[in-house]
Amino acid sequence: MRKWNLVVVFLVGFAPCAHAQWLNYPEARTPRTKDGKPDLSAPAPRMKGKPDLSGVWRAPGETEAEWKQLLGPHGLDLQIDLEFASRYAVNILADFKPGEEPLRPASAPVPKPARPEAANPCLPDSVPFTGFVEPIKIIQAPTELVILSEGKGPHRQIYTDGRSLPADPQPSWMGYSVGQWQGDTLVVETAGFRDAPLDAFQHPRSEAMGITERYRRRDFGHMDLETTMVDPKNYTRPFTVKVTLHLIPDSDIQEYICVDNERDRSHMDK
Amino acid sequence: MMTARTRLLFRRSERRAQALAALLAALLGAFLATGAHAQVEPAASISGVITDPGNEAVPAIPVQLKDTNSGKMYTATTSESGSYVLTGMAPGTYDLSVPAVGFTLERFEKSGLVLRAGETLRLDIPMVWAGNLGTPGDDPSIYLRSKYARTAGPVPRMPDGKPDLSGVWNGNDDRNPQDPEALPAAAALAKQRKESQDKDSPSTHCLPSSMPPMGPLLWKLVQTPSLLVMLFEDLPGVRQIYLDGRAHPKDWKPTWMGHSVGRWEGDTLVVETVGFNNKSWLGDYSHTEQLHVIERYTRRDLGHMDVQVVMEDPGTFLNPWTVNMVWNLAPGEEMLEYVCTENNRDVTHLVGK
Repeated sequence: MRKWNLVVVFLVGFAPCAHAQWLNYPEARTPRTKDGKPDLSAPAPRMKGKPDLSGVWRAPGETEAEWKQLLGPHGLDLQIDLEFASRYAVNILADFKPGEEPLRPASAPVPKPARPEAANPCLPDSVPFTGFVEPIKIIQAPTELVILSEGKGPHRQIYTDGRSLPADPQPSWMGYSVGQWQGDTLVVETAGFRDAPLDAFQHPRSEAMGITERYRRRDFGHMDLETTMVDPKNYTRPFTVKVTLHLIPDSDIQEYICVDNERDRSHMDK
Repeated sequence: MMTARTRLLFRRSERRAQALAALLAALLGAFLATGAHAQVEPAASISGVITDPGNEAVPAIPVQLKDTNSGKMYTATTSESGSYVLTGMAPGTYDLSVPAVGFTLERFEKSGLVLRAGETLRLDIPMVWAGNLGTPGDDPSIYLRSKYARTAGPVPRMPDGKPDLSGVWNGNDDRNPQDPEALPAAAALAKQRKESQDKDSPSTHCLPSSMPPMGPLLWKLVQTPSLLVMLFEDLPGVRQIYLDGRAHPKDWKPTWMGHSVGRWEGDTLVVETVGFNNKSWLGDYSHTEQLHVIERYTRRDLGHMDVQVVMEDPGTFLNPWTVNMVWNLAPGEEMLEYVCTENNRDVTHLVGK
C-alpha cells in the first residue's frame, strides 16, 4: 500500500478538473479541413527552414485495461483524470518485464519518502514526467524553445543558439537543456538535474543523470518523442521510452498555482 | 645675454602690455556689465563621488537634479569610480536625488542646494543601506547594472520590422515614485500592511507577486511574431502576452496573472491585461477584479527600455497609478529556476509586526 500512497501524492497534485475553464481560440495558423476543423494530418509548420514545434501537446493517455495492468485491479479507484497521462508517468520502466528492469539492486525505489517534504504536493515534477502527465505548451523562438506546463512547472528553456551544456551546472528540478537540429529532429540534451524521482513509482535519479530527447513533428497534429535516460549510478544501461504527443489545437494551457488554497498536505501520510 | 638695460626695457614693455590689457579688460567688462542685450552668466556644476556604507564606489547609477524654479530635470550617471558631474545649470536653487538602488541602497535626497554662476559645488554622497542591509550577493541589480553599463547598439528588429524586445532585463524601481490616490478603505489597508511590514503578503506564502512587472528584478522576454513570453523568478514564472490581434475572452475566469494582449503603437508595445482575481498585492495595495493594467514597452536602444505601468481600478484607486521604469539589458545572464515552496523555512519567521 506504500507505493499506492506515493502515487496518490504524485498524481493528486495535478489540476485540471473537468469543470475548469477551457480556452479555445481559432488560431490563424491552424490548417483546416473543408469543414473548418483543424487538419491534424497537414504538414508540420516550419520556421526558418526547420519544423516549428510550437503548440499545446498532450500525452495520448492509456486505456482502462492498461491502467489496471499497471496499477492493479484497484488502480482506477484513484478517480484521477488520467486521460492525458502516459504510463511512463507512473512507471518509467513500464516496458520491462518484472525482474528485467535495468535497475541496480541498491537503487530499488525507497518505499517511504526519505524527506518529510517529499510529501509536499507542490514541488516540481521534473523531466520527463511533466510532459507525460499534463498538457505542455511549446513556444519556439529563434534562439530557444520555452516549454510551459499546465502542472506545477517550472517552465523549461531549451537553448538552440549553439551553446554547450555547462561544465558544472547548478542542480535544478528541470535541468539545463540545449538543443540542436539533426535534419527535422530536434535533439535536446539535458543535464544538471537534482535527485528528483523519475516517476510516481519513485524510480531514482542521481545528479549525474543525462537525458536525451528527440522531438520529431510528424505532421501538424502529432509529435514523436523519444526520451533516453542515462544514469550509471542507478541503472545498468541507458533506456528509452517512446511516446507520441497529440496536439490540442486552437487552445492554450491554463494558469495553475498549486500553493493557492493548498489544503491537501495536512491530510497526506508522511 | 640680457644686460641690465635690456632687462629694464623688457620689463617696461611688459608693464606697458599689461597696462594695455588691463585697460581693455576694464572696457570690455564695463561694456558687458552695461550691455542692453541679455547677459549669459557662466553655468554652474555639481560633482562628487557616491559611495555605499562600506565606502565602496557605486557605479552606473543615475543622479537627478531638479530646478525648483522651472522644474527642469538634469540627469547624470556615475562612472566606474562612482563619480558624477551635472553641468549646464543656471544659478538657482535645486533639489538633488539619487533613486534607490535595487534592494540595497536607500533613496538619497538633498533639497535647497544653491548653485552660483561659474561655480562647481562639490557634493559627495554617502548612501545608506536599504532593506537587505548590504548583504553581499542578495541583490544582483547593482552588480549587473555596472557589468553591462557599456552595452550599446541599435534596437534589434523582428523580420517584420517591429522592435524585438527579447533579452534578459535588469529592472529598476521608478526613479521618482508617486504614491497612488486610493479610496479611503484601500488607503487604510495599505497603511496597515506597511506598518505590519507586509505580514501575510502573498509572497510570504509563495504566491504570485510579479504582476505587473515592477521592481529591481530580472525579467526575460522571448518574442515571437504572435506571442511574447515573459519569464521571471517568482510564481508562476511565466506570463503570455498574445500579439496575434485576439481580444480578451468573454467568459474568462479570474486568475492571478490575468489575460494579456499586446499591440504596437509605432515602436511602443502596448499591453492590456484584464481578468485578474483580487488576491495579489500591488505594492501594499489590494485590488479588485476590476483591475486593468496597461504596460508600455519602448526599447530605446540595445541596452535600455522604458517601461511604463498604469494600474486602473475604480474599486481601489481614485486615479490611475502610473509607474515609470528604465530596464537595462543584462545579456549573457540567465534566469534561475525558482521553486519557492522547496525547503521554505522563511515563512515561520515572516511574522511581520
